[in-house]
Amino acid sequence: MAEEKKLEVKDLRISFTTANGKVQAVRDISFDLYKGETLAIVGESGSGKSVTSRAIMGILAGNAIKEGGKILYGDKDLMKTSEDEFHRIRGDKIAMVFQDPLSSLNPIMRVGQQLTEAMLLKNKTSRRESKVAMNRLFKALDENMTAAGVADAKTDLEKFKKFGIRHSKLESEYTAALDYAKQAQAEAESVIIHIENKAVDKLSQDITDFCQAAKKSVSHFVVRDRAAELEALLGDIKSKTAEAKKSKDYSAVLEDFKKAKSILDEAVSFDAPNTFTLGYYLTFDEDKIPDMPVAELNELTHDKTENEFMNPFMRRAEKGVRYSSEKTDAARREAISILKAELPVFEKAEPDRKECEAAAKKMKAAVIKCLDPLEVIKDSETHTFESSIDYAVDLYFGGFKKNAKEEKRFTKATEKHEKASRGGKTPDWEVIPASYINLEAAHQDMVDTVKDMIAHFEAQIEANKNADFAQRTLDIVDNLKEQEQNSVYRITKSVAREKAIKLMESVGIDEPRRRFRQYPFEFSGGMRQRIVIAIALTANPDILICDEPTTALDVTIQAQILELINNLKRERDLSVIFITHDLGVVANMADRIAVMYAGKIVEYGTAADIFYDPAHPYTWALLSSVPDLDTKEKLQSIPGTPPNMIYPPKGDAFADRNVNALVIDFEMQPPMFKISDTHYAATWLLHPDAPKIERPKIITERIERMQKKRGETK
Amino acid sequence: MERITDILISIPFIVVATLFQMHLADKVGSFVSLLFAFITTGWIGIASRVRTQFYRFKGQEYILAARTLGASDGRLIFRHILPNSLGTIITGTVLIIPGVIFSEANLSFLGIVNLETSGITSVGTLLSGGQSYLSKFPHMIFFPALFISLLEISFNLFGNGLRDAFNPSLRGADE
Repeated sequence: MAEEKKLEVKDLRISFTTANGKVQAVRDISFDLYKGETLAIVGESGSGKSVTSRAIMGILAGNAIKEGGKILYGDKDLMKTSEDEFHRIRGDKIAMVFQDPLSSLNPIMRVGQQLTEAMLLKNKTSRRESKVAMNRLFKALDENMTAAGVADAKTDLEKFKKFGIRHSKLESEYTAALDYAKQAQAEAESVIIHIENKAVDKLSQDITDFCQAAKKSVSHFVVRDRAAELEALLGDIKSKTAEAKKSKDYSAVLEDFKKAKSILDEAVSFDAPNTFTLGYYLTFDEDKIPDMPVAELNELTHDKTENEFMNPFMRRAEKGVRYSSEKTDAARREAISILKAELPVFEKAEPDRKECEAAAKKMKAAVIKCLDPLEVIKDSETHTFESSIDYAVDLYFGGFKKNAKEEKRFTKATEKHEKASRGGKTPDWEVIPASYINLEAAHQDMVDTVKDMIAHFEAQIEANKNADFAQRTLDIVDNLKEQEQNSVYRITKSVAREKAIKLMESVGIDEPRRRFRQYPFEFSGGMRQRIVIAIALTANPDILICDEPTTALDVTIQAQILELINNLKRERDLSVIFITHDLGVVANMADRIAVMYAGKIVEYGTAADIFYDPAHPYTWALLSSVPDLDTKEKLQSIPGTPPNMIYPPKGDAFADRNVNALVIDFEMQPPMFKISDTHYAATWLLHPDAPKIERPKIITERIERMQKKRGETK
Repeated sequence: MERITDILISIPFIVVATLFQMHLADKVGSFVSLLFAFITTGWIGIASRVRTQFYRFKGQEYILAARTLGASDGRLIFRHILPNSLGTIITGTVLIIPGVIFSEANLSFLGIVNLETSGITSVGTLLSGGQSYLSKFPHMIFFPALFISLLEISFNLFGNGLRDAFNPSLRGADE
């Protein structure tokens, strides 16, 4: 199975207006980010790394012009998303770690407050969204199943919904009780340690917290058999604490705490019930949880649900899914014919605005029908077609309109400039060109948008020919279950606190309970960066963008932080975009590396490709300036500075600083040459007619050494 | 907006107070018209102070960081920016009090405001009354002067104390 694409950046172009003219920060960048991988973007300062990441987060500076391209995430194109929509994406979908840990924490908010803020904030919206998504999915299933000729689709779904509600209630009760039990367990442990160490200041508060959490952990699947025992213990602890508070001697409660902890330890390790099937059992069979071990109970309810309901339901639902998919394919075929019919309107040398808008309208209407209402992984291309074509058309014609006004200013300014220079002085200012928008590119954009859409539909129809509908149905049902759970999963303040403390532990902060109440200025730099990472992870994002997270830290902390990001990535299956200027840092982090120079990706490949087989002279230069133990020679630095992007060079941007530059490097931009399936580089050296230029000695030697070492360890 | 306040702030307070006394005092009494004068000019300083503070914190990286976590504009304003600027704003507000007291004393000393028509006395009136007896009875000046100095100092100290209280990094020491 192909890996799941999380984020797709296509032909991204971003510029900034400045007093001196337009600076092209990012020129035609494309890359994909897959689930669970680390993509490192490496380059010098000013190469457009941060601009790219900020475009993804939607926090570009005010003077940025989005010239074109797409950033596809889910059903959205992040280049055209409004600020309101971004509020929903940021945090729980995409999160970011900034470079400077000193300034990315609010100095007057306690660390704990900052950690829980995003959790509480996001929980509310995610509950609401899940509910909406769930209802929409139900409705779509209903419609399609009825249309496919399933007679009792309505009753089926009603049934599903009915026990779904029961399921989510059970689930939320169970998870809440379990969360409380875990919290109480952790509190008890810390209290025991405190008593044993005779550190009893403020202990009574902790004890009250413990009692509250322990009380709430009593439920059918958590603390059940020994609930009476636990409650007796709690009462005992309370009365003893009142005395101990005065005498400052807590040794009397120690024994009780140890007992309570053992109860909780046991409770936390119980088997989890299958709440989904249990929900079915309770709704349709017998409204009482039968008294038997959880494993047996799970088996019983599972068999019942599968045989009585799920299996026949799945067969019927599959019909609906198949029907919906076929309907969508038919719509796609129609859309392709419409798109192909309208394409010439855009392809004309001088397209007409009215015609284009009419064509765009027709196309939008056709494309919007091609959305399969039963899709689980959202089809971003189709979702974003409307905004893309509107944007492309607006950009092209808007560019024309702006021209008339700008042209006037331009001629005026040129006259003034000439007058000044005729007077014998050279003016210290330059004429800003009239057009900020490249019309040719905008025109191409319009045409490409339509062409891409056609290609995409064709690919989809092809893929649907041998689709596995049973699997798809299963995905849909799983998705329904998940949405059901999410829509009732409520994070309270104390749960959020417990989660935050666990998170602090997992990013390697000692005594998280005490640290939780501290202010950022009480932490050292490395600790603060850990907090920043923990905050970015609080809302469980899909994608984590790290913008030079270790640059401000010393080397030992740097290694720890990198290790931490790596571990978190593995645990949570995160996709990470790691931005840095230091190739040494990414060596053992990245799955794939994109080397950027002057707003372009010059080389793109897996970590092994880049380190063992670098192709672009700039990558050579970067590699040879990384210090390592065995290198005896003087390290090479790269002469010169990156080009001024107000006047982007005609040829290869690196040619000026390249010792081995070819003549063509100054005249034409090299295309991306394919070296292997995973490895691409933009340099004329890869052209079949190019002269053979050896890599610098320092690199070839190092690669040999590395390969030898790799061989030894194997 | 900022330009308008810039223009307004450049009008001397004494002129505004005099105008109010001349035209409003007959109708509503000198005390009320003095209050009017303070209110119409007093907001300007605070407004620009609040604005500066908000602009200062708006650009901070942690505001951006909170934004990347999905905090809405309202939340950013009330949960992040306002608490940060609150210390300075409140301190500034408290420090306005001695300023107001002093300018009132000034005005009544110069005789622009005569609060005695409203049946109230003021340090300024006492001082200007005592001025003519300065060589014979110096204590007539000394006590009102001492009083106003102490008032000023204590309000200033109060303001400083508030500033420290709003800054957790200064508070942490005794916790």
